Amino acid sequence: MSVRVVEKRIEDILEIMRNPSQIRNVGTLAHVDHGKTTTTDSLLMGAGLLSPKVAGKALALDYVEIEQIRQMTVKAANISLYFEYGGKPYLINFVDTPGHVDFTGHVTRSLRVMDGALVVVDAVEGVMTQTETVVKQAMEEMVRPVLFINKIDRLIKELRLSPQDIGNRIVYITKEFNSLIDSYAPPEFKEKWKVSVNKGQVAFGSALSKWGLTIPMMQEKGIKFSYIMDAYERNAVDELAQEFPLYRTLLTMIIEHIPPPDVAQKYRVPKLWKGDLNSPVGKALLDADPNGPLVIAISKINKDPHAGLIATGRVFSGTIREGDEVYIIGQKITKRVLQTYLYMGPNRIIVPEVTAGNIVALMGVDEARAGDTLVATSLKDIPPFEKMRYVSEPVVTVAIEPKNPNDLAKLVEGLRDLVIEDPTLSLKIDEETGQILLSGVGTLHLEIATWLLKDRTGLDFVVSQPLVRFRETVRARSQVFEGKSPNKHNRLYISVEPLDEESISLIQYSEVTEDMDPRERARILREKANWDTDEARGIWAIDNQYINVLIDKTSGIQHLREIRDYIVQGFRWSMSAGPLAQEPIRGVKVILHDAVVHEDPAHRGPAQIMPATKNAIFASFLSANPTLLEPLLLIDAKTTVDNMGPVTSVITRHRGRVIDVTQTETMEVVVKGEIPVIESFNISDELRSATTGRVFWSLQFSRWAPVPESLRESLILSIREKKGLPKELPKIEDYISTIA
Amino acid sequence: MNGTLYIVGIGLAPGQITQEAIDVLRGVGAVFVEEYTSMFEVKPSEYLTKIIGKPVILVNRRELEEGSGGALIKAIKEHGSAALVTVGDPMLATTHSALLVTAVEMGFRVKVINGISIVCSAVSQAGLSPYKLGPVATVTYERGGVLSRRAYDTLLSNLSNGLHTLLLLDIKDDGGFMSVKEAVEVLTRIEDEVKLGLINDDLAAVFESRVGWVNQVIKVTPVVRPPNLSPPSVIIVPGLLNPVESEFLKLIHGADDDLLRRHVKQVKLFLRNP
Ligand SMILES: Nc1nc2c(ncn2[C@@H]2O[C@H](COP(=O)(O)OP(=O)(O)OP(=O)(O)O)[C@@H](O)[C@H]2O)c(=O)[nH]1
Ligand SMILES: [Mg+2]
Repeated sequence: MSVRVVEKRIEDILEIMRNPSQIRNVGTLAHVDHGKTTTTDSLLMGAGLLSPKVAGKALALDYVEIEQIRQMTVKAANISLYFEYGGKPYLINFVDTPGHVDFTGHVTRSLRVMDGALVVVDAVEGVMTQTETVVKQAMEEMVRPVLFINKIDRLIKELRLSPQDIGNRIVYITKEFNSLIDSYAPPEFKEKWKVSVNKGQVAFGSALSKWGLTIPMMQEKGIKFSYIMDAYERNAVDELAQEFPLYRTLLTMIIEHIPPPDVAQKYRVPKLWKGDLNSPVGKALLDADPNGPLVIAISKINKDPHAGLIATGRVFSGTIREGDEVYIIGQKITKRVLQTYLYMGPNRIIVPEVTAGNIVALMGVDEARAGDTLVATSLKDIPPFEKMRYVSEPVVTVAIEPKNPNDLAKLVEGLRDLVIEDPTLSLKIDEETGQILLSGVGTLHLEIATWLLKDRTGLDFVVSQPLVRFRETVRARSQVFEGKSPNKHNRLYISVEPLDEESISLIQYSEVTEDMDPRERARILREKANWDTDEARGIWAIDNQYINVLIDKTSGIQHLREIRDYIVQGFRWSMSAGPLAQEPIRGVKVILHDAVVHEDPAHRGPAQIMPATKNAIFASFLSANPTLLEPLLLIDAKTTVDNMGPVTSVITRHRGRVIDVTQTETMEVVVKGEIPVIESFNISDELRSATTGRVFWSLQFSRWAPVPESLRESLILSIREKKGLPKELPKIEDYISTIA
Repeated sequence: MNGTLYIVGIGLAPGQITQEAIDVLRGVGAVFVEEYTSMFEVKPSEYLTKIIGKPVILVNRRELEEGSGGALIKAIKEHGSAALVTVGDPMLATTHSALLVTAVEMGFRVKVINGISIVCSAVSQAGLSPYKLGPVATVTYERGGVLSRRAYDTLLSNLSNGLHTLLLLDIKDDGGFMSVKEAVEVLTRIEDEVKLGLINDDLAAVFESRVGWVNQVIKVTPVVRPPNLSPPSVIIVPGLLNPVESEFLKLIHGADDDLLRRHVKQVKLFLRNP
C-alpha cells in the first residue's frame, strides 16, 4: 500500500473525528495468550492500514522486540482504524492491552480512554482469572464489553468436539462471561450489559485464521457449525476467512453494540469526574462537546527517542490544537502543546487538531503523568479525573548495579524514564549505599523492564535475584513516646495504632486523599470508617502509596506551624522504611499529641525535626506488637478431576491454602487458593510436573498478610542481613536513648 | 561516676581566649573542638594545638548530636575529664546545653568556661544599649519547602517595643555562611508576602562583618541596600535611638543623619504604645 493512500485516509479520518456518532473507542481485554494481539492484527489488516503481507509475518502491534521473542504483549498499543459500515465511514480508536497479570497496570490506564471492550476468550481455556480481573476493572471504569470467543479451531482440532458441542461450548462461555457482568457491572447496567448470542453481541472464530461469525450472521446465511468443521476438514479455512473476515464481523459488532463517545460520556463522566455537572465544563464533558472547554485525561506516557516524552490521552471535551496552552492539574504547571498526533499502528501521524471523543498523543507536556488531567488554562480550578486504581502492587524487587560505576547516572536516568512510562514499577535509590532497587508486580514484569533498560541505554549492568518486598505494621495501640531531635532541644510526642481495614481500603483506592477538601474527607471517614470527628479533622498527611495516616491532636503549640512540613516529611520518610527491616510501613495511624519546639529556626530545621519524628514513630511502633506483612498471590488453577490432588498438594506444600474447589460443566476442576509470593518462584515447574502439563493456572496479587508468628523473627533477621543491617532485632531503646 | 566535662568558648579571634580557658585546656584529659557553629579568624584546631601544646580532636555535628557526644563521654571515662571547645561563647546561639544535661544525668560534673560571644560583641561594637536589646533570631534559608518567618516576626515585635534586634545569619548544611545580601533577600521575600511595609528604604540596619577580627567592618545603610561584606556577618536593626546611640552610629560608623531620622520615624510607625 502506497503512502498516498494512507494520507488520503487520514484526511477522511480527520473529517470523521468531528462526528462522535462515527467514532468508537475500544480496546481488547483478555487473559494472557487468549489472542488479543492476533485479533488486533487481523483488524489492522482488514482496515487496510498495513499491507497484509507485512502483518502476516509480524505481529504488527507487538513492536517492542521482546514481545516477539516472548509472543506476549507487555504494553498497551494504540491505533486508529478506518472502517466503512452501512455506507458511512467510522474511526475506531483501538487499544491492544497486555494480558499477563504483571502488566495489568497498562490495562488500568488504557480503560480510561475506552468506552467499550472487546473481551477475547480462548474457547478451550474459557473464562480465566485474568479475564475476571480485567472485566472487573472495565466495569469500574464503566466500559461496556462485547465478547469474542477465539481459537474455535482448537475445539475442532484438539478437543475434537462435535458441531453440537461447539455450540454448547459457546453458550457455556457466554454464560460464564455474563456471570462476571452480573457480579461486577454497575447496578443500572447489570442487565443491559450482559451479552446475548442471539443479538450478535458474541462473536466466535479464529484470529489466527482470520475468520469470525455471530449467530445472527449464521442464521442469515443459513449455515451450521458443521459448515465450519467441514472447512477445517477440507483444509479450506482460507475460504472461511474470505467469506466471513474476522475484522468485518468484529468491527460491525463494535459499531452496533458499543456506544459512541458522546453517548458513553453521559454515564462515564459522572463516575470518573467529581466536578459540577451543571457547570459549563460539566455539560461539555457529558456531551463530548468539541466546542466546549478543553479537558484531556492522560492514560499513558511514552519516551520517544527523538521526540522525548509523548503523552497519550482522551479528549473528553473541547478540541486540542498544536500550539495550545494547557494546564496540568496536579502538577500545577502550564505547558504549550508542541505537536498533536494520531496513532496509526506503530507510527504517530501529525494532525492539526483532535476533537472531543478521540484519542490523542501530545508532545510538549513533559511533566504530565499517566492519570493526570490536562485542561484549558481557564479551568485551573476544576477537579481532575479520578485517580487510577492499580490492582497490583510492586512486591518483587531486584537490585541493579552498573558494571562500570561511571554509568550510574545514565542508568538511573533510564530507570526514571521507565517508571514514568509504567508507574506500577517503583524505583528506590538508597542515599547512603547508592544501591538501586527496582520493584515490580512480578518477576516477569522486572525481566521485561530490565530488558527494556538494556535495550534503550545499551549499558552493562548486573541484576540481582528477585527479592520479595514486605511491609511492616503494628497490631496494637502504643503508648505515647517522646522523640528527641539530634540537638535534644525539640521534642515530639507520638503514638501509633493499626488502621482498620475499611480505612485502609478508603486510602488505597484514593477515596480519601491528602489533597481533597478536609471537611469532605472527614465526612467520608466518619461515615464509612467510624472515625472520630476530631481525629478526622486533624489529618496532616495521608500516605496513599504505603497506606498510612498522620494526625495532629495538639493544640496551641508555639512555632508548630513552621515545623509542620518537616514532621510530615519525617512521617513519610519513616513510612518508606520501617524499623524492623527497613521495609515500608503499611496500615498505621500516627498521632502527634504534643510538641516542644526550639524558638530559633536555626535549631529546628528539617535535619532536627525529621529525625525527632522518626524516633518517636519508631519507638511507638516497636512497642505496638509489630510484625511483617508478606504479599500473597491468588492462584487459580484449572485441571482435570484426577489432577486435583497433585495441584492442591503443590499449593499446600508452599505454605498455601486452598480456598475453593469447583467443578465446571465441562468436568474440569477449578482450584482457587492463596500462596505467599516468596514461595511462588518455582511453582510453574512444580504444577506442570505434578499434572504432566494438564493444568492452566494464573497467579495474581491477592493481599498483604501477617507472616506466620513462627517465621517472624527469622524473616526479619534474614532481610536485615541481606540489606547489610545489624543482624539483631531492633529495640525501643534504639530510638529513645540519649546516650550512645 | 567521677569526671568533668568542660565546655569552653575561645572567643571570635586569636587573642580573645581567656587565661581560664587556656588553663583548663592545658590540664584537661582530652580536647575536642567543633567548627560548625561559627567561624574563627584562623583554623581553631591548629590555633589551639599551638596555644595549649597538645593535639585536639575535631568533632562534627553528627557525632555531637546523633551520637549524643558519645566520644566525649568515653574520653571522660578514660582520662577523668574532657573539654568541648567552641568559637565564641559555648552556650550562646548553640544547643550544647543538652550535652551538659546528658553528662550530669550520667553523674559527671560540668563546667562552662565563657568566651567572648558575637551576641555581646555585635551590640557593643555598634554602640547600642544592651538595655534595649530584644530577643535574638536567626535569618534562615528555606529548607524542605518552608521559609521560616521567625526572624521577621521577632524584628517586628522588637520594633513595636522600640527594641534593637540582633539577627544572626544561617549556616548552610555544607558549612557555608549566609551573606547579608541573602539575609536581606529572605526578609524582603517575607515582606512581599505579609506586606506590612516594614522592610524598606526608611529602615536602617547596622551590618557587621568579621566582628573581633583584624579586618572587622561595620556599615550603617538602609536595610534593603546591604553592603558587600565577607562572612561571617550579622545584622542589627536598631529600635528607637537615644542621642548617644545616634551620635555613636554617625560619628563612629558613618551613619547618614537623614537615614537615622527616617529610621526613627519608621520605627515609630510600628510602636505598640507610642
Ligand atoms: N490455535 C489458535 N491459536 C491462536 C489463535 N489466535 C491466536 N492464537 C495463538 O495464541 C497465542 C497468543 O496470541 P496473542 O495474540 O499473542 O495473545 P494475547 O492475548 O495478545 O497475549 P498477551 O498480550 O501476551 O496477553 C499465539 O501463539 C497465537 O498464535 C487462534 O485462533 N487459534
Ligand atoms: Mg498481546
